[in-house]
Amino acid sequence: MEGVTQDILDRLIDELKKLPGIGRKTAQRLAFFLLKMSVEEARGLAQAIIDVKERLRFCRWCNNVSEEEVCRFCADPRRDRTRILVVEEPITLFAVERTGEYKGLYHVLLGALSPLDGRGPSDIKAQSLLERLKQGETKEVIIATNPTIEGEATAIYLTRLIKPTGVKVTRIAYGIPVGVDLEYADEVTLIKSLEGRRELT
Amino acid sequence: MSLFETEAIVLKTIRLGEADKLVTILTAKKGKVKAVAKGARRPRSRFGAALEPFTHCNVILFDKKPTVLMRMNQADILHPFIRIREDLERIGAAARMVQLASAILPEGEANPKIFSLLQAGLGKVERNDHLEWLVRVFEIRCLKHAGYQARLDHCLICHNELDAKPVYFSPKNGGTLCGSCARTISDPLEFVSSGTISLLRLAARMNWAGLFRLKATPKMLQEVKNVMDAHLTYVIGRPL
Ligand SMILES: [Zn+2]
Ligand SMILES: [Zn+2]
Repeated sequence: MEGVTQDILDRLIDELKKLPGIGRKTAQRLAFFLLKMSVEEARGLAQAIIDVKERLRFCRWCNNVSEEEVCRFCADPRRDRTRILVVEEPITLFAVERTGEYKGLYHVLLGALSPLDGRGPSDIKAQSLLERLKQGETKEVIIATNPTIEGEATAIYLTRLIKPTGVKVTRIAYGIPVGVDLEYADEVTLIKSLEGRRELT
Repeated sequence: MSLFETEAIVLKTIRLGEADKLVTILTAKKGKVKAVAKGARRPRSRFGAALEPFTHCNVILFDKKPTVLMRMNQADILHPFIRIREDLERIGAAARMVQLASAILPEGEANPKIFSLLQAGLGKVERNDHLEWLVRVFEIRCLKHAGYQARLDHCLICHNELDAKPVYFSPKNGGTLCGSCARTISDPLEFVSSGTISLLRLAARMNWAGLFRLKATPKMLQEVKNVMDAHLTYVIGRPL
C-alpha cells in the first residue's frame, strides 16, 4: 500500500516538474500544498487546466488564444482595424491590453527569431501577418517584440518583410523605466532612449 | 566559496524561473562559465542590458561550490557592440562567432587568446562589411587557439611538400593530403586549390588590416567555407 501512495505522489511531482521554472523542491512543495486542498478546489484547478487545453485554440487571424475560431479582439467591430500591434507571445498582448490605451488589432507571432538557437522565419507566424496586410485595411504595423537580441532580429526581419507592401512600420520606443534615477540606467538603454527622443511642444 | 571579478563576453542568455536569467559567458579569468542572474528579467533589474548576447562587460561572480551554478552579483557594460543589433547579417555573423567559441571551449578553462579574438571579432562585425570573410578568419583562428590548427604545409600521409597541383583537405587528419594519397583513403575530403591553401595559411597569422586587403575570389571564399565547415563539424562532433 505504501508503494502505491508513493507512486501517486511521485507522479504528481513529476508532472509539476515539467512546468517552467519548477525544480524538484518546488514541485514537492506544490504537491504537498495540493494534498491539503479540498477536493472541490483540486477539481476546480484540474478542470481549469483541462478546459484550457480542450477549449482554447489560436485565433485564425491573429494567433491570440481564444475559445472561438476568431478571438474577441478580431471580432470586435469597435477596434481600430487600421493598426496591428505585433507581439511575440499572447502574454504580452494581455500586458498591452491592461493599459487600456491601445484600441487596434493584434498579431501574435508565437515565437521570435533566434540566430543563437537556429530558430528561423518558418518558426514564427510571420507569413500570416503578411496575408492579413494584403486585405488592405492596415495602415500601420507596430512592432512590440521584446528588446532582446531575439526581439530585435525579429523586428528587423518583419520590417524587411512588410516594407514592400507600403504599410507603415513602427517600433515601440526604448526607454528608461518610469520612476527610476537616470544615473542607474545602463548605457545601452540610455543610448537607445536618446536616439528615440522626441520634441516637446 | 569565492567572489571574483572578471571581464566577460555574453555568449548566450536563457530565461530561468520567474524572472531570472541563466547566462553563459566567456570570462577572461575562468573561461566559459554559466551563472544565474537573479531578477535579471525585471524592468528595473540592476543588470539592465548587460546580459544581452555579445555584450562585453565586467562581472562579479560568486562561486559557491563546484557542483552548484555560479551566481552573478553584478554586471557593468564595457562595450555593448550596440550596432550589431541593428542588422540581421551582423547579428548572424556575431551569433556564429559566439556559438563557435561556446562549442569549442570546455567549461572553466581560461583561454585568453580566444577571449581577445572574440572581443576583436565582435568589434569588426560592428564596423566592417566583409562579414563572410570576417567569420571565416574568426573560425580559422578560433580553431588554432583551441589547439586544432589545420596543418597545411605538406601532405599528412606521405609528408611530401605540396606543389601547385590540387590538394585535398581531410577533416579527420586535420590538414592537407596530396592527390595520390587522397586516392588511398575513404574518409570524406574537401577539394582545395593552391590559392585557397595560401589564403587559409595567411588567415591564421596575418593582422586584420592585411587580411581585409587580400583579394579573395568568390570561388576561393567558397572553398574556405567548405573546408572550415567540414573541419569544424569534425572537431565539434556536429554541424555548427
Ligand atoms: Zn484574433
Ligand atoms: Zn601524400
